[in-house]
Amino acid sequence: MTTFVVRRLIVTIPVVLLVGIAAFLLVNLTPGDPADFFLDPDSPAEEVVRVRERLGLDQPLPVQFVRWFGGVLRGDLGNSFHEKRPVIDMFARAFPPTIYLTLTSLFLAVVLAVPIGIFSAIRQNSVLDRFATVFVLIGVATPNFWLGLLLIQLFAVNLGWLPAQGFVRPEQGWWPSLRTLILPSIALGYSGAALIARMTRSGMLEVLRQDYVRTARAKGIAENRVNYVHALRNAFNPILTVIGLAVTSLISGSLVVELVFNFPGVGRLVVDSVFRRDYPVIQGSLLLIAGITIVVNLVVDLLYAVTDPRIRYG
Amino acid sequence: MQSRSRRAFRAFLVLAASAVLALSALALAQGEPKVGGTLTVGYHNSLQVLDVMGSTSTRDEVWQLVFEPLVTMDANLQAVGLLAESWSVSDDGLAWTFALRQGVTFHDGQPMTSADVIASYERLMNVGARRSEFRRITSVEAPDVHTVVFRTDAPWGALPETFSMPSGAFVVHPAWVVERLGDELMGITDVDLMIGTGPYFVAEIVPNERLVFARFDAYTQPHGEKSGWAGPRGQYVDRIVILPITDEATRSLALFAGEVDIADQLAPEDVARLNADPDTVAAYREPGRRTYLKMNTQQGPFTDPLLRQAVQVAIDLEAAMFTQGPIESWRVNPFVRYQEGQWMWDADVLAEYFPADLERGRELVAQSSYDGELIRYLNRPDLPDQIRPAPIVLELLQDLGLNAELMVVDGATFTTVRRDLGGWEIKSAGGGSVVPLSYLDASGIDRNGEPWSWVGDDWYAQLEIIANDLDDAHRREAVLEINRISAEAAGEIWLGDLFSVVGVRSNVRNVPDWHYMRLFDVWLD
Repeated sequence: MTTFVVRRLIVTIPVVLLVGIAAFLLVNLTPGDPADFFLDPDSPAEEVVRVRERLGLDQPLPVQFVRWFGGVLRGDLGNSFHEKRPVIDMFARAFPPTIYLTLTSLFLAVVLAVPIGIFSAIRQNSVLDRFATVFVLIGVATPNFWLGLLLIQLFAVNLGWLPAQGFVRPEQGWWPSLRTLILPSIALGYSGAALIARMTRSGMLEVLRQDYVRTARAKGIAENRVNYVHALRNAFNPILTVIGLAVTSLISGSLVVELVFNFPGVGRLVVDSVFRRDYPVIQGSLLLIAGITIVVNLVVDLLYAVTDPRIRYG
Repeated sequence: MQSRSRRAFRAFLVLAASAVLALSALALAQGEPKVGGTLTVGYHNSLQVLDVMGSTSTRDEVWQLVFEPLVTMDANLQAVGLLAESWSVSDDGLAWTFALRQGVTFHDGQPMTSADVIASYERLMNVGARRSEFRRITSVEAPDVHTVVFRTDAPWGALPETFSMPSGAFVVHPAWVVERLGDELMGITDVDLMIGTGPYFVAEIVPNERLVFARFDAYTQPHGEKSGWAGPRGQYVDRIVILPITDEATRSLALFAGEVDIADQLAPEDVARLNADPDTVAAYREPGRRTYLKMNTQQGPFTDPLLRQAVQVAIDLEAAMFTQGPIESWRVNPFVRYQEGQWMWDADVLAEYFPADLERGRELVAQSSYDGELIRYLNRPDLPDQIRPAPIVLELLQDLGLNAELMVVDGATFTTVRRDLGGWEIKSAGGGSVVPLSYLDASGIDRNGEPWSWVGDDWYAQLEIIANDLDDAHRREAVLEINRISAEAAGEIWLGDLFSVVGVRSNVRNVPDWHYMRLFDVWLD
């Protein structure tokens, strides 16, 4: 197991390097000049040159890359062009809200989706299964920003139960904090829940048709034990894969949901930075998201061994 | 006939809307001022920059809470003293002497003196986003602690207006702040350096989350009448909290939910709902913003003035502006840069140049050198004011027989493509409507510092009068002449004015419905 983890971590080094190069090139080769955001449209060219010098954009691209990536290796992601403060500090502030949002969305998605998927597989073609299918279809078809606006209208404006926007940090009180998380988590988690429910149902259906399940039933093992121990455990690896994929899609989905709920997380930071061509922040964000994806994939791979004893890493 | 009934209907709607707005404004203004409370504003911008001198991205209604310039603008765009008590110009027009208002203190408790003004001027010339517009000043000196003298190389009548410009403004910082900053801009978290003389001081800034301003009790009120940014500043509420809420729909919902007292820049479509809700009301920020079309006069088919004039005579300004939303949220105005009510504006000067005559336009196209070249109409989706008229304008170009297509790119790409004169033929453009006359001086040069070739020498001769003449009557006549010359040259087509919608909770009082959102004048019932 340790060898496997170490090997995977070594493989991440070239991946991070490639992501770094790709992020840098992607950002710098995209049209749009950060200097334009400090100046009037009619400013003379020498003023543009002056601002580019101040931002360090007058250097050749390879020099800029070496300077930036050298900083990354030392743990310094540079300073934001606009906020004039370290990108790492901006992430330190923006990352926790995104993590809370992602985790609560994932929690809601899994808690809701796995039982729905299991029950609709066990009771295939029943009324419950049909309800579950509708639930899944709506979840897949509803854009999360639109769902978010509907939720705000209903629960914040009409009923006044929950806040319409913003985020209260847990250190300011866990209940106010949780209240600000509920609506965005539902808006973000619903599509993930639909996907997980669908995969759980199809995974369970496949397993329930296997010979060993029929054998277990023939041996007189209780139906619940057959379903939840024999079948579910064997159906769980594909579900785990989907949950792993859901984490990364929740992070990317948070870009939109954070805008709608005015959530001060990484998603809003990235969107604002892209519009302003704040290169250090965009590059840092891409690296961060790539890093999270790598870690999540590694964790999912390790969990395979936990859920399926046949899998051994060495 | 159809057109007449449409006009009559429109006139009725305008009257009805004006009545509703007048009543709303009355409702908002009534009552005795109350002191105390916290005003929460849902703001459209992320507010990542508060260094008004070093960037043109700051917002007037926010930085004016904290910082103040020597000279500001009234609602008529005329220069009025703020930190300056008065000024005078020498007989030769080369020395401007500003007497500073006495008793003004910075937020750190130190008195404002001429040394701070000089230090701030030096910073302006070092890092100022608009420093090139101050190039006529050759030296600055302080005969005493309450007097500053600016010397110019030639008479410069536009000096006070240039000082009053809110974008990239010449505000006064304490000398020690200037020294600490050096060549750097002020970061959004540099709260300890955000020291001004304004009615509120910066209490807390959490980037992307909130900006909190608290009343500055030692503030010394300016004299004169309230108008535009001029005159006394209210200081009624204890604290002003600005929440950057960049999504328009969320801003609107936060207002309906009672989480903010004011939500700025809402969609015109929200007006009916805001007025129907007993807890909210809509107000318009007039004049608001300008929108116009700019043709590439340096490369491509629009270098031919006949082709530019073809577009100008054929365009139906009203039809283009109808795309902007309910009719009470805009007005047609082809006058270059300025608006109704501003001192140099004239409704009649351009009427003959916009007959909306498609046939005449086609004749001009036939007479021009146009030979079927591609006309790329550059546009951006992130600014609704600019993209909304695009279908009408595109249809017009095609009706004129031009091979036109719409090219839509994101805002940052737009700014880069715009600079490449080989990359577009006609583009959308917009601008603020609160810029002093001296701004025209900056408009007449391209990105390479070259004068506009399409307007001719007479345009620049008029510009000289605007910039240098000390008589406002002469300057106004020059503005009218510049408008006529611009219309003859037809390089830009100014479509009209747009009014921003501000949503307000019904307990908020004294919100001006003019362009200036003077947050320091608001009180809460």
